[in-house]
Amino acid sequence: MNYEIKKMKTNMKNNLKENIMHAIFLIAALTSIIAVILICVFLFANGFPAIGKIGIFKFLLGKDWSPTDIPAVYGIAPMVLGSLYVTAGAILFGVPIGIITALFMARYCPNRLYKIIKPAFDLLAGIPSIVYGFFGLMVLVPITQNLFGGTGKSIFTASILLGIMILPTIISISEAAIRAVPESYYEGALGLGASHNHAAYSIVLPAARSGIFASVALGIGRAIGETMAVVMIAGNQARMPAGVFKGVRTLTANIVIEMGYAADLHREALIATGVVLFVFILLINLSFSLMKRRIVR
Amino acid sequence: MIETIKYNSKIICISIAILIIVALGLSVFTGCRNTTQEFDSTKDIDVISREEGSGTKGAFSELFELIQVQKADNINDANVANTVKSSKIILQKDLTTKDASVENSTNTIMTTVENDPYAIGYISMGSMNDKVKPIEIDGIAPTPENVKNGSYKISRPFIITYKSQISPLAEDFIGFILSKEGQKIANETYIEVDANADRYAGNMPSGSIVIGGSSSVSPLMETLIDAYKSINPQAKLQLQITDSTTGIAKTSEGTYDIGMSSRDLKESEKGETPDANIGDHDNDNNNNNALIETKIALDGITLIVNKSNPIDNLSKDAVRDIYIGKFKTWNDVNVTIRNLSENKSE
Repeated sequence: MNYEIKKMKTNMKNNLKENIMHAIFLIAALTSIIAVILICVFLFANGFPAIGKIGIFKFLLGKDWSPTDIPAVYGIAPMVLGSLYVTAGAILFGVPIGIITALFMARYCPNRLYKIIKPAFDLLAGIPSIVYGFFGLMVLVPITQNLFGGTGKSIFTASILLGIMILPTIISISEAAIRAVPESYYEGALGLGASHNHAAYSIVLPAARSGIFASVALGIGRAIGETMAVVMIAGNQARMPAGVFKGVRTLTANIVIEMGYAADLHREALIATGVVLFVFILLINLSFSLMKRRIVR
Repeated sequence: MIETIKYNSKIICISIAILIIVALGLSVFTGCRNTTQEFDSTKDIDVISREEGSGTKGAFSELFELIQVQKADNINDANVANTVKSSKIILQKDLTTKDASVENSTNTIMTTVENDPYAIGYISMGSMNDKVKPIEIDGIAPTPENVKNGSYKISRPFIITYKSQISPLAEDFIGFILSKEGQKIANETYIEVDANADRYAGNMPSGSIVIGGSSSVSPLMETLIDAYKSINPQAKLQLQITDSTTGIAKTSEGTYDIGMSSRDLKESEKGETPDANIGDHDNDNNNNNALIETKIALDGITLIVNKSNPIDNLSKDAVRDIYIGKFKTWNDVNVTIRNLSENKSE
């Protein structure tokens, strides 16, 4: 009897502790959700009226951006295309290198080299984007200018720099995905007479493809949202993209360049630009979580 | 046998990797020192401009007539003509070519021009250094002296604005800015407006005021405030950095005691007409809401090109033609210069 009561008491004590900790964890989790909701509310509440005032088709498909003219023209098609082109270029440049590197690190790399390379990529991920931008301005821009003429500030330059910037994301996630492929796949392939190369490229790499796609999706997210580095090397002309070696303005650049001076409808139009960017990121994250679900399955 | 093949292929792999790295390194190296090459005037001009709404761009566009304005002059109603002298702008177009790169800081423009032989850009005169080449406009060099004597016209004023009835502290601080000490500080990086100002002889009242506005004027204002605080320690001066438009509007509202602006006030902002005070509750003394503007310093705008560019003098029209995209290559500019000199000699 006495023993039973004691046990109940300790149980209650434990329960109380449990409940308190439960509440703390819940609050911590809610903080980030509340932040997301607040950002959504702010963006949509401020952006949608502006889109309504300008007209959704005029805003999204308009080829001219002249906010200080009277009457002002707000068309973000050049910036939408600019963001898409630059991101596509970054994927074209960064993804092959990233995936091959990931496979190398998971299946080929000698241990001693791995100990050097791995921290190097972690360092690459930690470099502030403004430093990347400065590197681009001082090194990449003069090189492109020498090789292809023009100002050197172009879709091409921005793509290469962004390609370098998304490498750490792609490498670390792809490597994890490749390492997650059961060892039996590789061993089975070898057992059936495949060479090391064949087993790595034709068996292990395809088996990790959903993880690799996820890494590409995250890379796209990083590339499309990148601001400071792109502003410094893309040229920022607010006109329809005129060629790979001509300058371009991205959605993020448009916001950061003009926010300091914007007022009234101009300001709201910039927030609406943010809404468009947000929708892009939303779509990318959605596809990312779909791919993740496939990995779990 | 197999062992040696494996060994050989490894050596080949490593040597290829080393070759690629060396090639990359070399290309980076050659990319970095391109300033020695000869200037090719058939190349396109790389026009660099500032972002929409920037004070420097506004002043530059206005001085080089890059903004096309159409006013509603034909409104001749008697009641309108009486109240508003300046007619309302119904159409305004920025003519700056859309091909111009847009940079959002003076530093990026300078680095770009330093590295790009075919670039042209404009910066604040105070930021000038010897890594880029300044361009003379119509034969007048962009120096503080020439701005001061009025021969170099490409400058913008730094302005403070305030209401006619202000606190004693604000009045004393304005007196300090326009005194010999204040103007000496302004002359360190910018250009003083009054070289023969009297020495500061204020009564150093205590109190607190708020100063706010243009981010271009703020660095100067900050040094002025620090200097004033060392003379008058009881004074509390608060600086709020926003932009010219906000500075003027908030001074008019009464939030700021002194507003800073890097451009002249527009007629509508001076608040002399009753129309400007719609929504203002104390309409009984409108005259007190009128804003006074005072120049505290001048800031020149310098056109800069790469050091390898042979051109060192441009006419105002040539600059305009470059910026509206009429001149595509540096040859177009050269031809105009040659034609001009031929006409003169005839």
